[in-house]
Amino acid sequence: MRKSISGSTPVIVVHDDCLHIAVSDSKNHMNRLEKISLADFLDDSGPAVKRHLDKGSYRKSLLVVPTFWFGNAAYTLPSKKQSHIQAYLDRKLTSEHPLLSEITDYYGYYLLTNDDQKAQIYSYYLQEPSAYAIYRKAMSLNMGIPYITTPAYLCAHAVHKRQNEFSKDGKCIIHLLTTTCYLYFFNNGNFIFERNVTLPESVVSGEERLGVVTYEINQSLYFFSQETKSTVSAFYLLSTTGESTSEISSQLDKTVYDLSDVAVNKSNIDFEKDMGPATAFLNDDLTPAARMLTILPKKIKTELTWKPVQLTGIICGIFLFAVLLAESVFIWNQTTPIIDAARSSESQYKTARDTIRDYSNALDYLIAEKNRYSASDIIEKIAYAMPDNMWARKVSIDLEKQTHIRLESILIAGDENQLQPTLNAMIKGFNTNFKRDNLLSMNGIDFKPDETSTLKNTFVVSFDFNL
Amino acid sequence: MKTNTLKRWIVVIIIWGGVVFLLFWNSGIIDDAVDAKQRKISVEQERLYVETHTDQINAALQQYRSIRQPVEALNIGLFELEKYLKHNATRFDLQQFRFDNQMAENERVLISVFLTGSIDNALNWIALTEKECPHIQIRKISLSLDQKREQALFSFDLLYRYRLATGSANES
Repeated sequence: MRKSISGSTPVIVVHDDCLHIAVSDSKNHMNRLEKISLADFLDDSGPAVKRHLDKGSYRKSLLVVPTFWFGNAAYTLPSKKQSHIQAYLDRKLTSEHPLLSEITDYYGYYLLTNDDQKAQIYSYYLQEPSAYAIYRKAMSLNMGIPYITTPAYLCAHAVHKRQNEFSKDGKCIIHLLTTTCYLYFFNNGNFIFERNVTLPESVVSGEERLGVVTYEINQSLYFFSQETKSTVSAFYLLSTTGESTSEISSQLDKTVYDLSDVAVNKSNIDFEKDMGPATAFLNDDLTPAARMLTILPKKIKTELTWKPVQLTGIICGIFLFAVLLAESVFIWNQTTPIIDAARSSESQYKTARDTIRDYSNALDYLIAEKNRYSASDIIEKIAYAMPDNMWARKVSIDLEKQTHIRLESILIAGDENQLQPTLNAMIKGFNTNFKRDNLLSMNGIDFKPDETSTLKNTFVVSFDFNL
Repeated sequence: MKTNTLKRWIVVIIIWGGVVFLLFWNSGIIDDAVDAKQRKISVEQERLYVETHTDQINAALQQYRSIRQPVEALNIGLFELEKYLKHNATRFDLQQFRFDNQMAENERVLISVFLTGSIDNALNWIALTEKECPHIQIRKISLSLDQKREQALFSFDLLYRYRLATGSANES
C-alpha cells in the first residue's frame, strides 16, 4: 500500500553509484524506502522500481547528486536581458562542452551584484551525462518533479540561513561526517570547488581526524587563492561527530563557526555511509521550498511557469462560462415570449403593411399626375400671351417627361419700329401667364423675315422653353 | 509533462471558446429580442395608422384604380375609347378625326389622334377629355394653323391605361 506523507520531502540521493529513495520526516528522521544500483535503475529491463508513495506525495522532490556532477562558471555580458543571457549561455555551454548534448536543458544562472554596467553571471550546470538519464527515468516513474541539487548547495543554504555574513568574501564549509569530510569553498556566496577527504578507519582519535582535515584545508586554501585571488575569511563547521570548533580553529588559526547544533541532523548516522552527506541535513533544509540553488530542466521550468497561468485561465473560464450560461438561460426565458408575440402579430397584421405600401405607391403616382401640366391650360396661356399682331403658326407641346414647348409664330409689325416692342410684349405675356420671371428672354428668340408672306414687315418668330 | 501541458492548453481553449461562443450567442438573442420588439411596435403602429386613416387610404386607392380603366378585353376598351373621342370631336365640330393605336405593353397603349378644327373647339375637346378620362394621359400635342388662322391641324399622342377585368395577359 502506498503511503501518503505530509510535511515530508521525498529525497532521491545518488551516492557511490547507488540510488536511494528516502523520505525525511518532520522529526528529521530519514526513512529509506529503496536502494538500487544506478545501472539497475537506468536499465529498463532491470528490476522494477517500486512506487512507495502515492503520486501526490511526489509533487516536489529533491534529487541530490554528487557535487562534482555540477560545474560552474562566471561570464560577463554586455546585456542584462534574460533572453540575451539565455542565448549566450546556450551557445557558451554548448561550445565548452560539445559532448554534452543536453547541457543546455540543465543549467541555471543568476546575476552577480556588481557596480559595472555589464552583467556578470554565475552559471551552474549538470555536467554528468548519467544525471540526465536519471532525471528522465525519475520523471517516467512519476516521481513528481525532482529539483536537482548537491550537498554543496544544501550546505550553503543551511549556513546562509543562519549566517548573514556568508555571502561576503571567501568562505569554507567543513562538512564533517563519520568517515568522510567534505570541504566546500565559496567566494562571495558563490560555490567554487569541493574537496573530499576520506578519513581512514585507522584514524580513531578526534585529533588525528582533524589533523587530516586541516592538512587538506591548507592545501585547498592555496588553490582557492589562485582561483579567486582572495582568501578565506571564515570557516563553518557542520559536524555529525561532535568535534569542537576550538580544535579546528587552533589548528587553522582562523575563525570557525560551529553550526552543528542548529544545522546538522544527527538522527541518520546509520544511513550516512550509504547515502552520503545528504543524510546530515534537517528536514526543513531538504525541501525544494527552502529555495536552495537547484536545477530544473528548461522545458519543465517553462511548463511550470505556464501552469499557474493555465490554471487561472481554466478557473476564470469556467466561472465566466457558468455566468454566461446562466445568463443565456435567463435571456432565453425572457425573450422567447417577446419573439413569439412579434411573429404572431406580424402574421396577423400583414395586410396593414400591404395596405400602407399600396397607399404609398398610389400617392406617389397621384402626386406625379397632379404635378403634370394640363395641355388645355398651356394652350390657353399661350393664346393669351400672344400680342394682337402675333399668332402661333406651329405649336408643339411635349408633356412626357419634362414639359417642353416649341412655338413658331408669325409677327406682323406695322413698321420696323414695332418689332422690338411686340417681342417685349410677347415675352412679358409669357412670363406673366406662366408665372416665371425668366421663362423667356430676347436671347432665346429667333426671328427672321417671313419670305412666304406677301405683307411687309412680317417675321417668323421661333423659340422654345421648358416648364 | 508535455502532454499535461498540452492537455491543459486544450482545456483552456475549449473553455474560452465556449465563453466566446456564449458571449456572441447571448448578444444575438438580445439583438433578436430587441428587433422583435421593434417590429411588434412597428406593426402595431401600422395597424393603428390604417385604422385611423381608412377613409383617406380608400379614397387614394380608389383614385389610383380609376387611372386605369377596367375592360374585359383590350379591343373592347380601344373601341369604346375611339367611339367616345370621336363623339366628342363631332360634338365640338372637329373634323377629319383619325385614331391610331400601337403595340400594348404593361397594360398601356400609345394612341395617336388627329383632327382639325378651331383652336377653341379643340381646347374644349382637350379639356373634356382631361376631365372625364383620367385613364388617358396626353403625352404630346402638335398643332399647326392654316394661313387663314381659322383651322388648325391637331395631332395628339395619348397614353391609354387599362386593366383587364379578369387580370389575364394583354395584347393589342
